Amino acid sequence: MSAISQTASFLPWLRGGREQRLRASRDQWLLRLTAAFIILYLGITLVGPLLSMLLQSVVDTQGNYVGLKNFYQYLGTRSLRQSFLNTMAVGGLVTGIVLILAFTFAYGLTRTCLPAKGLFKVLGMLPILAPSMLPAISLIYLFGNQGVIRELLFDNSVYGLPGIVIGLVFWTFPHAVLMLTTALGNADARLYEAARVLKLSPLQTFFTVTLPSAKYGLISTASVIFTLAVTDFGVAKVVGGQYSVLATDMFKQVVGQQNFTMGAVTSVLLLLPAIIAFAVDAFMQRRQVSLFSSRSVIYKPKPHQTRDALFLLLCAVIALPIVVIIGMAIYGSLVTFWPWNMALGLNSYNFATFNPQGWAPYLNSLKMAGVAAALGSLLVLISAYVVEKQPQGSWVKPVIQGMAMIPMAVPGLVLGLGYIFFFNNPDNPLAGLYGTLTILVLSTVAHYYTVGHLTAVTTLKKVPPDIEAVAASLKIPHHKVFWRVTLPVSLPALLDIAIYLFVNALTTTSAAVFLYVPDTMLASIAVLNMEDAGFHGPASAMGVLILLTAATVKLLWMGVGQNLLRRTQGWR
Amino acid sequence: MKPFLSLENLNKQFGQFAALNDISMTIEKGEFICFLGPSGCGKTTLLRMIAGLESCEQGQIWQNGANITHLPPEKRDFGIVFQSYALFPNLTVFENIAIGLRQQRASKVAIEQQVNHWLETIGLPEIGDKFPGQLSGGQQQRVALARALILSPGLLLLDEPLSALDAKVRIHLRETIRTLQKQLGITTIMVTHDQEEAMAMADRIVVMNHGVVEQIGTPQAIYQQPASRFVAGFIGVMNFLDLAGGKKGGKKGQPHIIGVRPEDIHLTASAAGSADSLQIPVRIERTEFQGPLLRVECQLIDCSSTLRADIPIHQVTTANLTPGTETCVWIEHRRMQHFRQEEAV
Ligand SMILES: Nc1ncnc2c1ncn2[C@@H]1O[C@H](COP(=O)(O)OP(=O)(O)OP(=O)(O)O)[C@@H](O)[C@H]1O
Ligand SMILES: [Mg+2]
Repeated sequence: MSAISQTASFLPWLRGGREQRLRASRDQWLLRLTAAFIILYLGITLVGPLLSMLLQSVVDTQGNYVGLKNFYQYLGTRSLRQSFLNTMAVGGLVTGIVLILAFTFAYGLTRTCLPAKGLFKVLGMLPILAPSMLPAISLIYLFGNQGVIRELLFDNSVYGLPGIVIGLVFWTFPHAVLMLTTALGNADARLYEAARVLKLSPLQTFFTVTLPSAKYGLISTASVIFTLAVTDFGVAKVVGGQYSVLATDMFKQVVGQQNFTMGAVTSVLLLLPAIIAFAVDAFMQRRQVSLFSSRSVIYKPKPHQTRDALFLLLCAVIALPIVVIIGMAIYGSLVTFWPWNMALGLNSYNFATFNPQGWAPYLNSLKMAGVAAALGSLLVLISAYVVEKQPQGSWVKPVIQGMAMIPMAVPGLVLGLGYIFFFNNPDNPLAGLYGTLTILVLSTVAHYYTVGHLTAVTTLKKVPPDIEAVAASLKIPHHKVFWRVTLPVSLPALLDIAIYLFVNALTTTSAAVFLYVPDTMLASIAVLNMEDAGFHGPASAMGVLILLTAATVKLLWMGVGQNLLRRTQGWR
Repeated sequence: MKPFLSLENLNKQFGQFAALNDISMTIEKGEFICFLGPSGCGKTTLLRMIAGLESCEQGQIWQNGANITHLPPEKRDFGIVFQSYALFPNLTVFENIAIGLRQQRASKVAIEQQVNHWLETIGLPEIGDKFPGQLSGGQQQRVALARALILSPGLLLLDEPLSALDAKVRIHLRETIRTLQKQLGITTIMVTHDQEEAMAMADRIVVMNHGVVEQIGTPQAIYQQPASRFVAGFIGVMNFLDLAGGKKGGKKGQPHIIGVRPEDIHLTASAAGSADSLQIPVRIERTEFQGPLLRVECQLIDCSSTLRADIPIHQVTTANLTPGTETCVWIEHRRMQHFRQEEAV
């Protein structure tokens, strides 16, 4: 033994054992190159802009470092301090109301045998397909100075806190329903059987089984809704009146006063609550132990007359305002000239009369959303693939994953302002992108990166982990396995991500509002501008157009897409 | 003749943790080798190093006269089968098996003929058009085996290929693998933590523990002459007697431990001993019927250790085996294994 090891110990020297690591194959080089590209890409479209925004908040207008002076100045201004408090109030109210409504709605969808579930599901999702200005415009039609049912408010004005809260509740409701149906849908039937055997009352069962298992879902939902509510800009812009919030402040500072430094300071303040909500959620998620294992049996509700009738009533009451708000927007868009000429017609859809760009913003939106969906979904899948295929202990994995999580906590307005600082800088070789449709695509993909990334990672985990090893033994290069196996297997998720990106790209205003030029104006921005100019009808019409487009794409996907998948995914 | 595969002083670190420590061995052409050891001892890591799926910072790997230590996996010559099957889920069984040939740009006719031949060989001629998800675990593993063998690699690597299957299928597939391996004469390394599987299949077994090789030998050698107390305890059942000071154990001097297999312990009513055997007075604690034999657990009277003895059922005279009975056991000296004290775990 010792003789062997002695011989062996100088053998490496004899054989020229200078190379200590496994010689990297072409596959590994390709993987590294792709990882480098993804890191560079996220660095340019996400981290760079954010850093320049942060930097801007600690310098004065001449560009000298002034520490936290800007923040003191900001907080010393009474009106601005008030905006911060207002924003928190909006966030708190919206989160509370939406949680109660959405939990009831999701409970009805998952835990009862409520009739017409499919219809309720669709109605619950509708608001997600519209830009956030649409419910606000609709509220003005309903409760504004010439509103059809303004009597319901007893002389109170809809402008201000009430309008903002109602509009945001409407607009964030689908997000909460989506998350809570998932949280409530994964119930373990065994737990309910155990509760029955122990003779727990329905109420006791609710508090000992249902609520604990949905606890983390509720916390996540609260954090997402709060972030959406404090960072949204469209609703407050349209129906906010004198009630100022951070998002509208920031818009005024940047677009109105061209005070970029104060804009950056507001950005940081806007970033804070979002980051706190995100951190709380992340912290709670880590403590979550899944109550639902692969051994669990999924809970299926059995018919129960009184319960089902009660939830039919509740869900109908919740869904009614959705129908009214959307119906009102559509009706408003068809009225020739509110309130003087109530004849119906398509006058408002003749955009050229109200806006020099005419229909161009709509076409721009389609183009931008299409490119963002195609490029974004592929990019997200490739980056998730790179993350999954990293060898254990590689630093690339946490870096990409960390970057992919950032957008979750970054409001669109903040990202948009960051883009101004980063790309509108003459020293940046990419400054040429400023004012193009490309920069709108880049900001949209970056803004909605997180959800896509998480979806892609979940899907890739379902692909057998050792197929690359097998492929290597069969001398098949990894990229070929990617195209031949990984991509087809992930196709449904890829299309889901594409649709998600498309719909969000159509409806988003936040980042784009700082980045468009007249030639690249988007439909959602046109809604805002026409509304601002007092053209409620045309603004409503453009909003309805966005809603219809998004709905059509969703429907097409559900019909044609699923059909197509059924044919190509025969192996499932 | 040079060995087909030789591993020379391999080490593997994962950060601070040494997963493999100075592993050396040689494997001849056509041999069936099993890596056997408890969970986490580094079997998979060693197999993956041989495949090039894990880098090798220290030591060398030679295959077929060439130094392959730093070659990437696709430049090496092996086929591999995993516990998880790792079939391409969206390709048919036929395509799964054919994909390697397609990559080699084999002709259509050749592919057709080869794949059908292999489907025949694994006993599943009808399933070419099915998808992996439509097959049972055992069938999927057969397909994975065919896929690994179709390019006629020089080395077949199997990482617990049978662990996910149920007992019957396991034994059946075990035979399939062994027959195929003999037919093709392909050098094979199989990782397992099931000693019975290793004993039944291997030409030689490599017993590993905590990243080191404890012993390499034929199943018989490992069972009959375990090189360490760990091997003795890991393979089959072994009684360990701590006869301090060696008063009764043959060798005098250094304190050591004696190991005896249960089947080498005999019960006797009378204390009539002989020079070539050791007699120990015991008290019967418990008996357990095990079909062909009776397992008797007894307590040594002059110290606290217990012994397990297997008595062939036709030698059992029930009278003297009721719990509490005091009696004697005898063990032939040549059946005793001696282990040094400090090896005690
Ligand atoms: N990439 C890695 N990074 C860090 N530690 C690792 C890595 N791969 C394996 N290990 C550790 O090395 C040790 C040996 O792992 P290995 O998978 O080789 O064990 P094994 O003998 O195959 O066990 P099992 O029977 O459970 O499959 C384990 O303790 C494991 O945790
Ligand atoms: Mg293993």
